[in-house]
Amino acid sequence: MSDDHGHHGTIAPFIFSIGAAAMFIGLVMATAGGKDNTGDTGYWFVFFLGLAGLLTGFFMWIQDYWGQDSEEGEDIEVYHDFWGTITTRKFGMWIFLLTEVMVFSTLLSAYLRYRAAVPDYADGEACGELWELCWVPAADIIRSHLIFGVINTFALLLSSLTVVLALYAARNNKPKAATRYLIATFALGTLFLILKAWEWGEMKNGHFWSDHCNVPGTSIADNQDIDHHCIAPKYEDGFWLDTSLEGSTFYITTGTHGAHVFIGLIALGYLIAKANKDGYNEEYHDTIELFGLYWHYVDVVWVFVFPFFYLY
Amino acid sequence: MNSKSLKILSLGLIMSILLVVSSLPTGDSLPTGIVDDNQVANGCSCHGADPNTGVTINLSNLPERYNSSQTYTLTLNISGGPDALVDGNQGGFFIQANYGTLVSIDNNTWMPEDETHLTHNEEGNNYREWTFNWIAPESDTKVVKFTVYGNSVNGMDGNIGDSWNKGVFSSAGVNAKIEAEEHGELSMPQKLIYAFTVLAVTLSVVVVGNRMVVNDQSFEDVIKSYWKSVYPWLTTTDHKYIGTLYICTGFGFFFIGGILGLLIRWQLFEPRVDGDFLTYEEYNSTFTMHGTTMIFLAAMPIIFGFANYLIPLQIGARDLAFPRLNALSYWLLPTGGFVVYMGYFTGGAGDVGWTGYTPYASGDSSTTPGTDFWVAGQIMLGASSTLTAINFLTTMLRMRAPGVTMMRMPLFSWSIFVTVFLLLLSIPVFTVALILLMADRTFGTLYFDIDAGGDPILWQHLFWYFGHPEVYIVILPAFGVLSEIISTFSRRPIFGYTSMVYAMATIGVISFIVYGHHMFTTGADPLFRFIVMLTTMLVAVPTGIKIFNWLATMTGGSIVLKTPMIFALGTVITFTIGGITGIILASIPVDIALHDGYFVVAHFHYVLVGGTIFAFVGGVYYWYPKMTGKMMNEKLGLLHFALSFIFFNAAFYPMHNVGIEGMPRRYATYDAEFAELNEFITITAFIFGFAQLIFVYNVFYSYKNGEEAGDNPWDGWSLEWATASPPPHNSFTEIPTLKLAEEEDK
Amino acid sequence: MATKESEHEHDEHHEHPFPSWVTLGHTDDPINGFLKVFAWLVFWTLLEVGAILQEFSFVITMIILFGIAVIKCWFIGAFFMHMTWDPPLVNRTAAVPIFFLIVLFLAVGLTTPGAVDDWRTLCGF
Repeated sequence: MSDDHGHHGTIAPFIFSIGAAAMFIGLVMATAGGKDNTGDTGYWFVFFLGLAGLLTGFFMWIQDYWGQDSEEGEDIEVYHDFWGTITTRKFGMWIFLLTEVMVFSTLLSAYLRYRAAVPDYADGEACGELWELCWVPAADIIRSHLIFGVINTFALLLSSLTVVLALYAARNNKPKAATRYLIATFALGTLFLILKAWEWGEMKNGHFWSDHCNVPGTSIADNQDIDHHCIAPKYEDGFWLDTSLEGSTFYITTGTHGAHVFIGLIALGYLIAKANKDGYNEEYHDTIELFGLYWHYVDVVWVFVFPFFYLY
Repeated sequence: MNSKSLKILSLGLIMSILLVVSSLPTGDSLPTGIVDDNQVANGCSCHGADPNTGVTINLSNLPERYNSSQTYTLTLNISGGPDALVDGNQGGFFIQANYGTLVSIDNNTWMPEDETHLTHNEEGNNYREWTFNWIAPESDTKVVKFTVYGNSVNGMDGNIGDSWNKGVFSSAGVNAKIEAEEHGELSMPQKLIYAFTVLAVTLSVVVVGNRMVVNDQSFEDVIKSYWKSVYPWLTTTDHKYIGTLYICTGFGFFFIGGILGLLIRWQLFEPRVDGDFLTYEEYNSTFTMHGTTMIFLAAMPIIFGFANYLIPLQIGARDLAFPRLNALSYWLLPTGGFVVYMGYFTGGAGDVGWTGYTPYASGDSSTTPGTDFWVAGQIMLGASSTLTAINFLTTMLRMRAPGVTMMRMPLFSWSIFVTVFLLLLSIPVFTVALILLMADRTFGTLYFDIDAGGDPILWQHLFWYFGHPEVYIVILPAFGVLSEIISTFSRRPIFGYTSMVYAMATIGVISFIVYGHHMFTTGADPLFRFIVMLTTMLVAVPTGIKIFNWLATMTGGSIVLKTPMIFALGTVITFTIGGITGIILASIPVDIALHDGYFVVAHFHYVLVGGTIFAFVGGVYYWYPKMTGKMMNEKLGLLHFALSFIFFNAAFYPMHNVGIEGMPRRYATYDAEFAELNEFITITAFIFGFAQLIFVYNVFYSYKNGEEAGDNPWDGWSLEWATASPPPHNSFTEIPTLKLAEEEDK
Repeated sequence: MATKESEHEHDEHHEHPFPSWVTLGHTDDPINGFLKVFAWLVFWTLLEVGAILQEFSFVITMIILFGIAVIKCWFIGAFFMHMTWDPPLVNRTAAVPIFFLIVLFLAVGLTTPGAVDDWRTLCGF
């Protein structure tokens, strides 16, 4: 296992896996362990220990890339032209994106199944006293505060642009501009997550609904107003992932997307740190391209999630 | 700046993660009592995040031992907590019994519709004591568990000052066997785990002690020298070493899965009552863990072990495209497997079947964390497989040596190529399904909750959308191995190479459409079922083409009857039988009759053991000389085959019969009419199991004492035979060029 | 693992043709082109929000939402993800999951009795 061909042994995968296992063990025991199987909160310590292990493994991994000169420009020799038209890493990234396509398609088809199975309240069907027989989408609650979703959409679209601009700045040998565009991307991604977290909090506590629909001094039943998308009492106590199926699908899908944004920001953090240290220029910029592909994909997912969860 | 910025980054990450975690959800309840079953897990958490030990819950008149079907009047009393306003709200409760029926007898309690628990109502809100009836179950061998939440409120608006607590009470039937407390009586699997641990520790002590004495070394020196040889294995990124790790881990789990299988067979030796050998609940986790272990922890690792080892050799590459990622793929396997098995240490392993059907898997019915571990471990395994798929696809498309065009790749390589393609597209679907299941169980989402409008059949769709390609993932590489062995030992290239490739590709694509044949009894749309039935029968065509091609290869060749070839021949026979029963099951009316019975069990064991396992055991005999430089013992190999083949068929063939006669699967006992055949099956299964020890012995014995193999003991033509046995560090000193025999030198 | 300088030629520095309807006129500067693409994305987003606020019928709404989503996805893929100028390998790789996605959406999404009945009604049997 010598390193005559550039990939020496590393303990990072081992540490990473142990960390991941500890995280899951901690999470499961903290939520379902203990004497009565409702959670043994002492195990959160194990969870965070595992997380630390995971991060240690991650940092050990990038340590290789951090210290050395970039491996860019060096690629495995290819003997079959068609397959060699893009670099190995770019090809690998595209194949990875195919798996991500399947991930979000699964979430979206589950959502489609439920939207197709349960009639919309607006279709005039008998929905039961508490509207429990119909689908009252998250979009209705968000409608009154749609501006945040729109800002988020623009933030992500703009961040895709800034990543492209970062790449072109690097290609045109302007490392400082590249770094600045990367930082802008990071800021926009962070804005997205902050707004989303705030949105989630407000929806969870029922504020979006009551801001718009609840007239103080009147009863909730009086404020049922289909035309203005005030459907109570299904969500008068708040809208969270265990409130209803609408909530579960909304939060899990947008949450998975948010998690992908978050992981992207971690990777972007590494890129910015590296940009600060070495600078991306016309010779070394492929990493930005690879990150960009992932980031644009996250944007594409939002392009589908936004209309079908926030608008409809 | 470097390490400092990394430290700051990591701190920042940990802070943000803490932030996210602190917003975990809680449940809620209403003054009209806890209505929703999902709140059971969270208690009266709206009235306070945690239970308060200041609140005492008392359930009186509960008998220590109940009589069958008798009615008992119970009184629930809550004391402690805040002082209550007179005439105001004072308290609330929730009580659920896992057996028997609770009945409300006054106006202070009620049972919400479609629920089985009792809770307070507006009237009952004003008290801290409630009376109700409990009708004991008919069976007096149960241990009934009462889960009680008691809420003590001060009657003021909001939740400030309220406290609640949880109590668990139990009553055993007069004839029930009470399980001893935690560290008393152990379950059978726990006993086995402790036994093996003791064995392993003893062995280690003996080995280390022996070293110390024989080499006259100190304890530290012995450990250091072992660490020196272990550490390279922990850090390797070389495909050959990772392949070896995969194969060893896979066979290790195969051994464990085999023991679980024998536990199943022992339980089914004769009809048994609950707790006679295994309790019925333990049996559920035994067959669950047997299935999950065999598929995810044995078959797939063995397959990817061989793939890791051989693919770069067969295509003439030095290693995979992303070696470190490959190492990560491997290490997620033993760690993920450990997480899956954690259930055995926490009250019971996952017991939902390897298929994990909801709503049983997503609801409260399995109350131990075992199923959560089962889900979590498989999420890790899913990540491992996804990374493997990305790695192999990139490698096989991009890193083939000169002359190795796609249509000149060996058939084992092709089989792995189609396999990882299936893996790439199906595993993410399964991983997401597992995450949804975990969300339902842990965070209270309602994806599979019937009351909330969720659809348990959604799980079946998502599972089988993955599950069916999965079984092709485990059989296609076996086909690849068969092609390699049959061609080498018939001394001619495989007949119909092109059709073999297209057959595998077709099987791969169609496998995504046929998955509905696992769901014929779910009331699915007739058109969907029809399409599925047709395509399932259709997929037999390319499979049949492959079988006929193997036969044609042998017909035109001159056969060398060595152990690998004998296993290959046996595999063709048993796989064909399994394939035929698959076609039988493809017919909707037949499947509806045979679904969830032993005919199905026979079918999939014939294709999985008779197909995958036999083929890969043959593969071990075939490639062992390449990997170790030593030949395995032929006589032991023949004995191993004879015993395995005879007793595998003896054990599994009768399952077709009991299945047709109506014996259901996944039941811990059965009607007396099936007893004779089951006894026979159990005995022959045990012999089949013990026969594998011959193989284990052969592997270890030959490593030390086997004949020297040389580069190409079987006279094979694929590129792995062109390098030394075992291959040197970077596999090839020079990347070779593959040429056809007829090609002129250019 | 043999190493050699990648023969990847970055000729996009010099010519990065955007279709002229995207840039509404000819432009030599790729940066300008990307800014125009971003403008298009903003435009389509505003269009889809506007469409929702109009509250059209279900079928019209679906067509508009899905159509605009596909258009935006195309913009991001073709230009930001560089697919217009990439070798065919990239486009073909990206096209691989399409068949399996269709199977997934049809089989998982549309096989509930409610959905099946809808399709029966829509298709007239």
